[in-house]
Amino acid sequence: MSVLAYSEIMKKITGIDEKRLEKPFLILSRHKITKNRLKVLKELANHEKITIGKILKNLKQSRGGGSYLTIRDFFLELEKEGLLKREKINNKCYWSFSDKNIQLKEFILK
Amino acid sequence: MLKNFKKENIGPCSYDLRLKEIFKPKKIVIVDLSKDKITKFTKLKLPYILKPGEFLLGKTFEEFDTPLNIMSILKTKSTSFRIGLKILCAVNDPGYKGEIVFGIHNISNNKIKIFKGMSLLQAVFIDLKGSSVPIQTKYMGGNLL
Repeated sequence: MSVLAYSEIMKKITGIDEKRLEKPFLILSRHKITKNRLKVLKELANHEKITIGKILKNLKQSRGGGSYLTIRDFFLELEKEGLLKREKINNKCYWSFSDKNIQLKEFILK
Repeated sequence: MLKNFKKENIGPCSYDLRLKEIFKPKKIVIVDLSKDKITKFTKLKLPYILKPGEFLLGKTFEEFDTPLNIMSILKTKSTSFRIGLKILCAVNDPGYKGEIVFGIHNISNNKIKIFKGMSLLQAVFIDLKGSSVPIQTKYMGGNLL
C-alpha cells in the first residue's frame, strides 16, 4: 500500500509520464519560452500539422515578415533539437510535434 | 481514473476536487433509516450564501472511475476549515464510478459564499496491495439517495 505522489497521479489521470517530459522541457527552457511562444506551441498542438501562417491567423496575430520569421526561426531551432518536424506539401511547410514528443503535445493540450 | 479533471489541481500527493452543484435537505419530522424515511434534497443555484449552522450536500465536477487497485481518501482542504466549513466525506472505494457527494456544514459564525469551482476537499490516492472487489452501492454514479 502506498500513497500516489504528483507524478503518479499525473500518469494515472492524464496518462502523461512526467519523467518523459523532463528532456523536452529542458530543451524548451533553452529557447526563451515567452507567453507568445507558448501560445504558438499550444496552437500547434491543437493540430496534427499546420503552417506557421495558419497558426498566426488562428491567433489573430500579424502575418507580416517579422512575426513569421521569428516563429519560423523558433520552430527551426526546435526542429534541430528534435522536438518538431516539418513536411513540405505543395510548396507549403507544415509543422508538427515529432513522434518522440507526443507526450509533450498531450501535456500542452491537457 | 478521473474525468473532467484540471491538470492544475494536481497537488504534491493529492488532487483538489471542484464543486459543481449543491443540494439542500428538505425538512422532515424524523430521519429514520430503519423505516426508509430519508431526507429529500432540492438543488440550489450557485453562488450560494451559506448561513451559520446550515448544511448542504455538494457534488464535484470530477467523475471517478476508480480501478480495483486504487482507492482514494477524501479529506477537507485546509482552506475549508480555516474559513469555518466542515466538509464531511467518506472513502472512495475501488470500483466506484461517478461524482463525489460530500457534506458542507458551516460551523462558523459568519455567512460563507459558496461558488462553482470552489475546491473544498482533496482526494489522496492509495495504491492497494492485494486484490480487491468492486464496490456495490446505491450511491454509485453520485446518487444523493
